[in-house]
Amino acid sequence: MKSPRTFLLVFFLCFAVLLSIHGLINFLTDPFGIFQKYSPDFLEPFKSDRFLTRVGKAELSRSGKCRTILLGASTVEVGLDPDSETWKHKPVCNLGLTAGNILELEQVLKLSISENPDLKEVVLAADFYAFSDLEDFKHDFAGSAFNPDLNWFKYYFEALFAERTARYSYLTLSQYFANAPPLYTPLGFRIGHHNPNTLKKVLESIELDSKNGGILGSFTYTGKRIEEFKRILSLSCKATERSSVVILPSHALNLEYYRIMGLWETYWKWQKDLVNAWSQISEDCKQNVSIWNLNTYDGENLISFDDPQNQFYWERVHFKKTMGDRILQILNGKALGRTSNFSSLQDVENLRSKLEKDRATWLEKDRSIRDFIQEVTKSRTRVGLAQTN
Amino acid sequence: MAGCYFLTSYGSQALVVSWLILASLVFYAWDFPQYLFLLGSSILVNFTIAQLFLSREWTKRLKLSLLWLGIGFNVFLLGYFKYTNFFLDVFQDLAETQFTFERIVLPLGISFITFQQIGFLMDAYIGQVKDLRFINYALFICFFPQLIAGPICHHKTLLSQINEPNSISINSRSMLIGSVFLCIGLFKKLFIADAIALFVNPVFDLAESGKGITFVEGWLAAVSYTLQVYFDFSGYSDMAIGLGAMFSLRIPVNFRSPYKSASITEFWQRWHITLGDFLTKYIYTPIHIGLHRRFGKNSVLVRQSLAPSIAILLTLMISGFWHGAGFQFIVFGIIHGVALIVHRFWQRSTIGRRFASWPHWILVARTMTFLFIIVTLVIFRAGTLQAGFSYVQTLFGLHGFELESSVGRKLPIVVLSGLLLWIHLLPNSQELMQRVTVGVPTENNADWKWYHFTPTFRWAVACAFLLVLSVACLSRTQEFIYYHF
Repeated sequence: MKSPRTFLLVFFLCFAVLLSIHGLINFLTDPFGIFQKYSPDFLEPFKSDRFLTRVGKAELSRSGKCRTILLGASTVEVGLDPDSETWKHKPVCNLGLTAGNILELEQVLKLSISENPDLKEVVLAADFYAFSDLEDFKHDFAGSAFNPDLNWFKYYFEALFAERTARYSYLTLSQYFANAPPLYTPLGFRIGHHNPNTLKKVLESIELDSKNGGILGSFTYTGKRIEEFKRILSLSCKATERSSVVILPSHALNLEYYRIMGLWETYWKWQKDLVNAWSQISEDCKQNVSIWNLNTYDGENLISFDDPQNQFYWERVHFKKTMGDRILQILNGKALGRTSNFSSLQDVENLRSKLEKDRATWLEKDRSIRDFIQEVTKSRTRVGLAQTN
Repeated sequence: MAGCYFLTSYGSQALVVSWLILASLVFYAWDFPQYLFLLGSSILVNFTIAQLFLSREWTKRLKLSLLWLGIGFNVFLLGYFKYTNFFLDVFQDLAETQFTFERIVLPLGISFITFQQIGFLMDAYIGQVKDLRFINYALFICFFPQLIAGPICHHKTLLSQINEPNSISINSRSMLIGSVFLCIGLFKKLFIADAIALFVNPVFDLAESGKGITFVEGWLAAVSYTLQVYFDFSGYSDMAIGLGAMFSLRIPVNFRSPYKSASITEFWQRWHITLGDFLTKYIYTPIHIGLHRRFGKNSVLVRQSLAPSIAILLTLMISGFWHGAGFQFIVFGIIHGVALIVHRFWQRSTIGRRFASWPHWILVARTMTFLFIIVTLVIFRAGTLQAGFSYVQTLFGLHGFELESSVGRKLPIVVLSGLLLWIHLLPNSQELMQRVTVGVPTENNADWKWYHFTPTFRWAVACAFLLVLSVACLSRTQEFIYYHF
């Protein structure tokens, strides 16, 4: 090139053209569903990876079509089917967030109320893990529309030009060309991602978590997150027709994990706090808010992971759709041919004594599990700022 | 930049300099407006002392007192803002107390600004500064490309350029050189270093939390961090050079392919060159001369061995502590100091000279030097000294040779190997830009003539491509590693 001016001209032109092409591909592919109006419909089923991110879930909430929303963590995401026949108000949006906590759920509800004028029902899955004092907004929450302080310029800039968007565009397009099945349904329900676990693997995971701390190693509960829970209930009461709070079931071995980690008393204290908060809010609430604890020491919650008939649990925390459908039947008041004695949670002490009895029966029958629990409890480690007061 | 372009076309150099000072101050105040006063007063005090040196003949004693006053002022600022938290933490640990205190936020670039001003004062003291105008001095200190993480500019490099009439100008040639350097720097920082950080941080966080890391993930993260810190800091330096070049100002080179070094001495001549120059001139040399004068007149041992060794060790300790307020930085400095001393003796020994004449020695020396850097940078990166030592033990297999990794994300081996080949075989930015960057010190390397940047269509497209990749990575930016040093 003869002159620096020509070089600069070519440089800036190339930059503008390349950046525009990059932006246009991301705009049309629209992997997070931000520019849904302009994106071709045939790509829609292949964008399901978007729900791996909070950005994608927030866009589902912003779609404005939700009449029922499901709030919670990954148990909601993988277990509760929005397309179930039992729902009264459809469409149902599964807004369960992977490792979501109560701080985040408050913002999810606020956004959903403001963006969905026809919102009738809220199901809040209260997850013990989500109430740790140490919980904070997760990394990609800040860049999603759930964040009330979102910088919208940055949001759209990243939607067009960011490397992450390009990565998800590439995923979408490669799944389209490979005709790969989606990870999620269009309403945010995660399907087919878990590998079934054997009992040996589940016990190994408990042993490992008890040694290295796992998620509960630094669990700290003083009840300060109950305030967010109250605000969620209160908001839901004011803005919708029906609200339910549910402690979703986990396998009995997961309850044992709480016990092994020295958090059994904390677990029940947390439930008492939930019930107290629930009764305070319910007094001022015109609707009848139901509250459930679906954890038991019988029926499906005791099924062996090695049982070929295990249609209920992926592993000790996450349950399968079959179990989810049973839960939805209970929540939505449909007839249930159940084996577990699922209960509502108004009387915590009663529920506890019932569970303790069932547990004793279970461990009497299965002594190898009892020995395992005793052994692991001895060697457990609690790290960090663990407190259980 | 538009304002500067307008003023260079129609205004005087003084207006251009004032405009750049204003822009630099706005840049500085963007995140920490409360420290603008600190920057301003620091510039004012140092300028006043330097001006006093120039304005009249002082007695030697008074002049020395003034110098110490100036150095004391700078060291006090650095000490207060950078080390107060550290010393209070150490006190708490020793006294086993738990009082709470408001932690001091480190002002942007204070370490760099302090060293630059101390160097300037010392040169003014010995009469090397002849011409001094306030606005030029202010720009010399706060010129935004070098304000937050260096390079530590010597007044002969930058201030002398600013003092020249009409030296600051924006033209197509300066924009060309500046843009290319900027693109390379942005690419190094945003596309490479920040991507590596995503793999490195979880492993170091795990190590710091007290949970064990495996042999393999330890080495992968350590090598990755070695690459990250280079691409991060040299990327920043390239950006500074590029931004300076846009205004026709030549910012000194800070890196010359440091990982190609065949000894630790060579490494410090190629790594953070401006810091090395500062330490040599203003710390090592005075200590060495002082020891030599005091103890070395009658002793060959002191003159040839002890004095330089002590000076090296003290200099590297100061260098380590300058990098950060933590014991791990001091230990990093001490280890490097000891390595420099050992290398010094090795070079002079018969066996050292014999090895040096062996044709393949360079390969062995380079490998050993690189491995040494990898291991010592682990201590530098670790959050605490204890975590650093534990990590190093893992690298030496003292915690077993487990090959599995508990951290999900790892830098793919192909990428890691590619980056290693890059830093060991390919030319650096200055070598690449040799044909066009007249005036910026470069290393003449005839082997790479085919690779040199020329303003061709292909280069324009390549640079635009690098810039697009960098823009795409803006959303996942990490702080510059040297940002808080």
